[in-house]
Amino acid sequence: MISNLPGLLRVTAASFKMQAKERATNQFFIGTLLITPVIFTILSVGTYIYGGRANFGLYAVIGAGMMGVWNANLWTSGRIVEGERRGGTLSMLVAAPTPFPVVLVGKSLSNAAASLISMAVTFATGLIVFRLPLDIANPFAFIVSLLLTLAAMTSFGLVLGAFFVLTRNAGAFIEVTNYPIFILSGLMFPLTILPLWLRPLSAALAPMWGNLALGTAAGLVAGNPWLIDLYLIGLSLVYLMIARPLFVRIEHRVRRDGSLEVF
Amino acid sequence: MMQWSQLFRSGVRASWANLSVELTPAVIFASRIPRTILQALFFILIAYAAGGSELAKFALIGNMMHTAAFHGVVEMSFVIELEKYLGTMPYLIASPANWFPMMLGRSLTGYVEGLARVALVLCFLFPFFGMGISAIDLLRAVPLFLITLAATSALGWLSGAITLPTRWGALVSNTIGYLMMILCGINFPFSVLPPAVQWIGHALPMTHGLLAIRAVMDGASYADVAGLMAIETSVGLIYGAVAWKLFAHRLNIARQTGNIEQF
Repeated sequence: MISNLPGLLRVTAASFKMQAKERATNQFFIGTLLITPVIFTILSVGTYIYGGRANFGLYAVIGAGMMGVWNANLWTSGRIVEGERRGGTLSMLVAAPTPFPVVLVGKSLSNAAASLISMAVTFATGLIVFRLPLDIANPFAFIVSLLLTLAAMTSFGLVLGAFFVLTRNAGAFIEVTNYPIFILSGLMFPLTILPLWLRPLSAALAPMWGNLALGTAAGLVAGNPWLIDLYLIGLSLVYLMIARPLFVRIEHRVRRDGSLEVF
Repeated sequence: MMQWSQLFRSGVRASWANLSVELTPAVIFASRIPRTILQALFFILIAYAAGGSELAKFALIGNMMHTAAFHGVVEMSFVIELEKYLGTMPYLIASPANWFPMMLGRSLTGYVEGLARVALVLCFLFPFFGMGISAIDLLRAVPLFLITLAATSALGWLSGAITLPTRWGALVSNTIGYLMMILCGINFPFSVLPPAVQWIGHALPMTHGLLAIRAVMDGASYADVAGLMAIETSVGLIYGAVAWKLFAHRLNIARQTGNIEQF
């Protein structure tokens, strides 16, 4: 068991680096970081401009960026577990003295850092294709909110990552969760168009608060971004508190039953 | 001709066997159906937020066709990718049998699944966003769905033929599928795009078919949209012919150089 911080950091850094190398040749990453953000930005901003609501342009740009961040961060993080399983290395990682969540944190952080590219891509698309005025009212709060959103999404990814150890269908699961989360988080449209009874579900999702924090920092939504950032920090802690015992239980279960290869 | 029919049937059987392994009840009900409906819903909600119920209705028809067309493009390309992935492509090339009817048969389940997706979107989302479209007009549009989807499938074959010697098939076909959302007038009329981009839209399958489908749903007669459907059919045939020739050319090169295993 790793019991010291330098050891933990070394493993995290090594996983971070390993994931970065794997990502460089991964088609899905190229698609989620560079291609779909451009297409979704054009599609959403184009729809708003056609609908006579060009003032929603920046909102749609941020939303498309958040979709890219979500895809690159979580979707591919789910694929990490699936990839290790396919590569035959999942059992070894779980059996190793290094806790598996530490490896997963390193790899997820690597994806999270790379996912910032998609946000940059959507802003560049808005600027180049639509000549949108991309004025951010409070740039510092915007950057802080973006980093906290990444942290919250990575923490959420750890919760899901624990479940992905138990299934071979992580990819299919993530694929189907994408759009409900985009809808419930109101990434491309105001949440007010959704029925009232869905709002509590939205409140539990990091992308919704991340999007709100970014929108507030950009001056699109009235409010104090720092207060929403506090909520993001709280949400990250809750996710981590759920993820830790979940990993412990699942790891214990697969070690006890020797059933990891069965899933 | 008898041999063609046998090869076609064996292709259909192989394709159905693949699909029946992949589509377990869990995958159908927990992944395919929700994913299809929610993806369409997401883009319809963007249109609703941008332009109210009229633009939402426009997006409903567009996304209904796109969900099938996207699947058509990716699945037809995947037919070729799958042979490569499973290592059966060299046997197909080496075999004296004509590959064309067999590949056509293998594509059939993808085509049927595409139609099932149209039906799903219609069943679940039409009651909410399809105001003003009569059931008769909807039924009259069914033959146009079939032709448009067939034309779009030809683009999938072309994509598969182009990427045959590469490992980029999935990324390319997905990118084409998403680009069609912008270029074929799914969420907003493609006439608002810059003229140069509109030309690309004109050259793609689905653009004219979708215009015809919208017109028929608005009450136009078949005679009114005959021109559009003639263009749609021609575009599909051209793509199919180019895909056939290119695929045959690729296979000949592969036979000559013996490098099929490198694909």
